[in-house]
Parts: sequence; C-alpha cells; structure tokens
Amino acid sequence: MFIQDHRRWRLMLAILSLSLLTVMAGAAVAPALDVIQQHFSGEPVILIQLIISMPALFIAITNLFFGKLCALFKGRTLTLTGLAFYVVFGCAAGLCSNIYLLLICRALVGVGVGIIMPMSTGLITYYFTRDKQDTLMGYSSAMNMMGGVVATLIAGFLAMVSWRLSFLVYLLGLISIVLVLLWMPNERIFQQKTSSKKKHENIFAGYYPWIVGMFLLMVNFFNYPSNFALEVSKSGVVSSSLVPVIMAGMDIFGFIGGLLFPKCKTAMGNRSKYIAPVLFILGYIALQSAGGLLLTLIGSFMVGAANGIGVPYFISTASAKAGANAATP
Amino acid sequence: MIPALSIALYIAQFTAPTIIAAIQAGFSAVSGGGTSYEAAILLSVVMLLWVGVFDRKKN
Repeated sequence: MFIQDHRRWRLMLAILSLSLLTVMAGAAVAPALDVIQQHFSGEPVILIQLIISMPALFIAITNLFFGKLCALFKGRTLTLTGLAFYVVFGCAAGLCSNIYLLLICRALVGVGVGIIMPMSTGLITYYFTRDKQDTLMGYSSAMNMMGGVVATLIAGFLAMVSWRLSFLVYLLGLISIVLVLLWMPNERIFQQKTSSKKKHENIFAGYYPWIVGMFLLMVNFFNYPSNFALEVSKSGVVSSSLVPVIMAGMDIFGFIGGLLFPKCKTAMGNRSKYIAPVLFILGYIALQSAGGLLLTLIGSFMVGAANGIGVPYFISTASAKAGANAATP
Repeated sequence: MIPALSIALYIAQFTAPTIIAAIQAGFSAVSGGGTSYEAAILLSVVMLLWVGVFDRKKN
C-alpha cells in the first residue's frame, strides 16, 4: 500500500488525519438540527441554521490571516492550536443553553478549522515530493468526504440520545492531536507572503467566473445540510431516525461524484460544466415532490453527486488557467 | 487563486441560509408559501445560466 511503503508514512497519516475534520466541520451536527430547534423553539430559525453555517464565516476570516499566523508560530504548534479549538469549542457548544453562547462556540470552531484546513494540504506540499503530492491530494480529498460520512453518522446517532451529545462528534479531533503530537516535527514551514489590496482585486477580476460559480455551487449544496432535517420534520415523509443515514449516503455520493469527475470530464469535455447544476435541479425537484423515501433518497444522492462533481470542476478549470501559481493567494 | 475559491466556498456556506430564507420570503410574498427546495431549484437554474454564460465569455 502506498502509505505503508513510504518512509514517512507516520507523518503522512498525521497529515491525512487532518483532512477528516475540515470540509464538513460545520455540517457535522446537521442531522441534529431538528432536535436542536425543538430545544430552542423560541428562537428564530435563522439562528438555528447559523449553528451549521457560523464556522464557515470564521474559517474564511481565519484563512485571511493564515500567512501571518504561520510567520508567528511553528507548524506543529499552530496545528495543535487549531485542533484544540476544534475539540474544545466543538464539544463545549453542547453545554450551552443560550443560543448566542452556542454560536460563539461555533465561531471558535471555525477559527480552529481555519487553521487546520490550509495545514491539511499545505503540509503535503511542504513535506512530500511532487510525484507523491498528486496521490496524497487525492487521499486528502477522499478523507474530506469520508470525514463527512463518519461525522454525520456519529452525530446523528448521538442526537437520538440528546442534541447535546451530538457535539461530542468533535472529539474525533483527539485522534489527530495524538498523531500530530507523536509524528509531526515542529518546524517553521511557511514563508509569509505580502499581498496588496490591488492584488486581491486582480484575483477577483481574473477569476470571477469560477469564484462566483463556486459561490453558487456551495449555496445550492449547503441548502441541503441547513434545511434537510427541518424539511423532513415538517413534511413527515421520512422517519427522522433515517435522517443521519440519508445524509451520510449523500456524502458517499459526493465521494463517488468526485471519483467519477475525471471520467465525466473526459467523456463530456466542455459540457461537463452542466452536470452539477442539472443534478442540483433534478435532485431538489425530487426532494420537493416529497414522494416518500425513494424520491428523498434519489434527490439527496443527486445533490451529493452534484457537489462531488462541481467542486473539482471549478478548481480544475480555474487551476488550468492559473497554471503553477494556482495555490498562491 | 485557490485561497480565493476557498473563501468563496466558506462565505457561501455562511450566507446560504440567509439567501435561501430571503428567496423563500420572496416566494411567500408572491404565492403564499415556499420551501427551501423551491429556492434551491431557482438558484440551481441561476447557476446553470451562469456556467453557460461565463464559459461563452471565456471562449
């Protein structure tokens, strides 16, 4: 196996374990949203949905300062700090009886993931040679989706006992803490890059079709984890105990969609750009029809596949335009 | 460029509930009701048009 054959396989495992925690960090407790709403029944629905989406805002904000953080701290120290935020504030949200305190904990989870996420790919390019990087990036992407499946299932089943317990899913970060403590060297790994406002403006001007496209893709996709549990509860077409299983199935179809993307692109060429929006339209029509379990499953899986195909489409087409400078801000 | 896409990805996650709720409110004002799925169908059509338009512009 590729990992065990490599002389630095311990470091590789430590880095890949970070990818389990990142992309679906906010949505991990999505299956518990209906139960959480029942507890905070007097609060506006938008505050309940912020429980899922609040980390994303702080991930984006922390990303803006990531270069400065790297200049101040060594790699392992920074990674452990991010993981500590992830575990402590992720679990602490379950102790909150005030919705605003809970949202502050969610924001601090976002800060943690904002540190972990660029580390999960940045450490691969720092520690491994170019010939290993493509394979490891593929593993990293697969771990992203697998993390979503595992977290959704665990949080969903914990939510059947209590909504507070569903936040214990963030204890998964302890695995990474142990692996990073044991196997990651503590080195200064990135050089700070200066960037002017003009440069950021140029990035948007040069790449706005992909940036806006990615934005539309994610709004469409994130509607699902934000609302699925609530819509199912309202319509009653599916038992709420099936929600975590269906959502995990959606993640698996996202994983499959990502694996199929290169073949779709080869087969359909330029027309592959239509796959994600068409799958979204068909998926949400199936969900809207509320025709029972079968249509709910078909709709959910189409939404997952749309995301799995859409994300690599925008990244790969924009990267093709950017060339070797794609990874830099 | 990848960090810019990453920021777009997470900003979208944050704003998605508000955008969907605003579209639902629009549907409610016009037809008296609307689900988040209907709002998502509308946004998916916008996305379909966007990828069609920007790609024509690229070429």
